[in-house]
Amino acid sequence: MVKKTFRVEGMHCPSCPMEVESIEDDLPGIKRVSASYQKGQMVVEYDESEVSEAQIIAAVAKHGYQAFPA
Amino acid sequence: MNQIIVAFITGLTTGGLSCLAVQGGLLASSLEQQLEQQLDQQLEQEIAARRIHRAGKKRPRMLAHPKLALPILLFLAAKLAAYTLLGFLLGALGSVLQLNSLTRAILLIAIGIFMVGNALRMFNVHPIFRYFAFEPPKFITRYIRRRAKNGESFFAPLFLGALTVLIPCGVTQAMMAVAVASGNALQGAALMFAFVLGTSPVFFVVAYLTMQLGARLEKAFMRFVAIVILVLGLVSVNNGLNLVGSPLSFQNLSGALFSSPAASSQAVSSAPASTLLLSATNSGYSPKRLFAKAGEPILLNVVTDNTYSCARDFVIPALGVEKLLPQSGTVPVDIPAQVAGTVMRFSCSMGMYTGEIIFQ
Repeated sequence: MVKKTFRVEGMHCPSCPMEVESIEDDLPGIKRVSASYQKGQMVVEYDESEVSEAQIIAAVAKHGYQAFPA
Repeated sequence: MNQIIVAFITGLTTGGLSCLAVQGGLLASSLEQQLEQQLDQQLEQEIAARRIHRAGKKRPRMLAHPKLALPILLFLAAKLAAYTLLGFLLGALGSVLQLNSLTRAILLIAIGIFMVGNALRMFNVHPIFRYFAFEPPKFITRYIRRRAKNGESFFAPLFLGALTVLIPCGVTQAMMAVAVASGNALQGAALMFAFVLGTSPVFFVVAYLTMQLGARLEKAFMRFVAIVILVLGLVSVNNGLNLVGSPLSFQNLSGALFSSPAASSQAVSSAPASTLLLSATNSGYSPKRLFAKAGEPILLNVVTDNTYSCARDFVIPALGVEKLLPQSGTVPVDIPAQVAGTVMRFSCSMGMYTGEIIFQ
């Protein structure tokens, strides 16, 4: 299990983090996502053997936001 | 009764938009699941329609817009219930807690700063303004997502609507202060009910339109909302400054900057008096400028005639005077001797209507 921080662009309102966090349900291997509108970032706790950084970034992109490793 | 009507009108005119700035995020969160489900349904329908079309059959009618009216109504209903209960509690507390004009002024200025900060956030001026927004706590958003996943899609609007009671917007806080000042549980409940009911039509229309409009129009519309909130915020700060008799309020600054020689000569020719007459009307105080004799006690008679506006709540911050005037009548106010050159400002308790007494 690793915990990585990603910079997230496109969160233009306080409710946007809720949508970003829904990738918890999209991808197996993600234990927890904590996104912050105020900080413009998300912290993802995931199993590296089940899901990759690239998959996480792609899942966030599907919701209309851009994630970058911090 | 009049106060309740005023509360409703306040909600209708200013409360709706200012509340949306603060609570709009919660509403959007509550509609998140709704929107996703509707969009998924739309996508399925689109795919099915294309299959039918390719098979040479007639294209069925498409689901045009997501069904948002009901969840928004549920959100507002829950908000109304929560705030009415809060009004009841505040009114009951009112006899114990009394907000003086200084506290109210601080509240108005703080609210105004909060609203201005929110407007600047909506304009994307700088990331620091993001801290003026309220993000629902994580345990709540997770709870809602879980409940929504289980098919309880109306849970979110109801729950979050009730939760708005924890993040009252600027104008709501001012109304809460009025509820406390009423010192009566039923009156407090009625005031909050009327106010939140007043905010609901604007809240509903703006929220519904914002969801329906395309991204581009939504952006333009939200900019308009941000401008309105910016103006309301500045007005609130200004009212707070008036309430403390600050020379920095817009009215006092412009009065000092733009007082013409003609007005000054008029000031000299209007003989300062020992007994002054001031009318508190529905559109403010008249005259706005009075001239009093320096060095001796002054009697100020404040007259009302079917007055129901904020002007009835008369405040002289420098003397700590705060009087609730009768709807019709004359109330004497004793002013101790002042040195020549003193400018004594007065206003209503919301800092909206102002005036001054100049001692010569």
